[in-house]
Amino acid sequence: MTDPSDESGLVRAMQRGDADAIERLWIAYAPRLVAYARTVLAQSSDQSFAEDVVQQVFVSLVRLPARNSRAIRSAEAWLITATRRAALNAARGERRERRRRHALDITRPGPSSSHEQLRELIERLPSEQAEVISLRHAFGMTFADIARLIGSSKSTVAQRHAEALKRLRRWLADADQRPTNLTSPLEHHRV
Amino acid sequence: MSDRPPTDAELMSRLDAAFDPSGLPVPDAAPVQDAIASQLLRVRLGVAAVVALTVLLLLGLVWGIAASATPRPEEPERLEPIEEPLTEPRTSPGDPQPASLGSLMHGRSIPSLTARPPTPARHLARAADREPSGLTASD
Repeated sequence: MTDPSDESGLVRAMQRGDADAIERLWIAYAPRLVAYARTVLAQSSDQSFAEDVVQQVFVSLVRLPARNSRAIRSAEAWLITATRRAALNAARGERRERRRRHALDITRPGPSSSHEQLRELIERLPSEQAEVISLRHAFGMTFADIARLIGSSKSTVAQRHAEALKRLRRWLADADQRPTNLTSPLEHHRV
Repeated sequence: MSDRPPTDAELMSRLDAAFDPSGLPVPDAAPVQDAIASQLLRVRLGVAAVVALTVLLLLGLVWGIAASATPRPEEPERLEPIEEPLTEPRTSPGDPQPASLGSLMHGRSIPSLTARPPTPARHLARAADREPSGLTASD
């Protein structure tokens, strides 16, 4: 995690059009934000759609009035919150269409690495569990922070996390036995 | 391969690794950079327009101040209205009196405007009294 005071400076530099600041913030956060956006977007997600969402978030950060951007204490917290909001909005409109296309996409390539495989498994979790997992492991947020972000209680968040781990453990054991199952598009649905 | 489910610690470790930024694909930043560049261009154009307007306003203000500070050409002095009444004498006691109408006429009397000219009948009668005709009683 970047130093928050450094982040504020980076945000201001980015708003001034400093290419170096843009690149630093982008490399530091965009990959994880895209992974997080995919979990929020759930079944409607694909990499490019999630990337679009994160790009919009960065652009909106630049367009923030100076008064609001000065109030940003942590760019990371702001980006996560904005990504969540943008992904939820985008998912409402796109989910149905994407689900239909996803089901027809029989040529969709399977995961190429164990990390990618695990991320795909996370995307199959119920969205509230997937979100907790990605926030916890992509950004190292505490249960209290996650609870504050999604407007839930800390115990609920902890429970969702535990349930998600239980499911993932079971699926990973299944995947080790039947690895081809993961690539079947017919299995790309929420449990 | 084993069908043993991973322990919590193993799973947590795998999850952390799955979301490690170094292992995640870095999305293309070009659309963001383009959007930011165009946004900044708009902002800079706006700022330039505001500066240009401000400069114009200042120039107008300076011109106005300079124009008001420049002395205007002398205007002709206005004549003061005559406040003295016309009936008052304008001459002092030592001044010569204005000539009378009679002196201007060099002693000639002015014919009365009411005098009537002699009528022809009366004129002829007077002439007959002064000059006797050639006819006498002896004639």
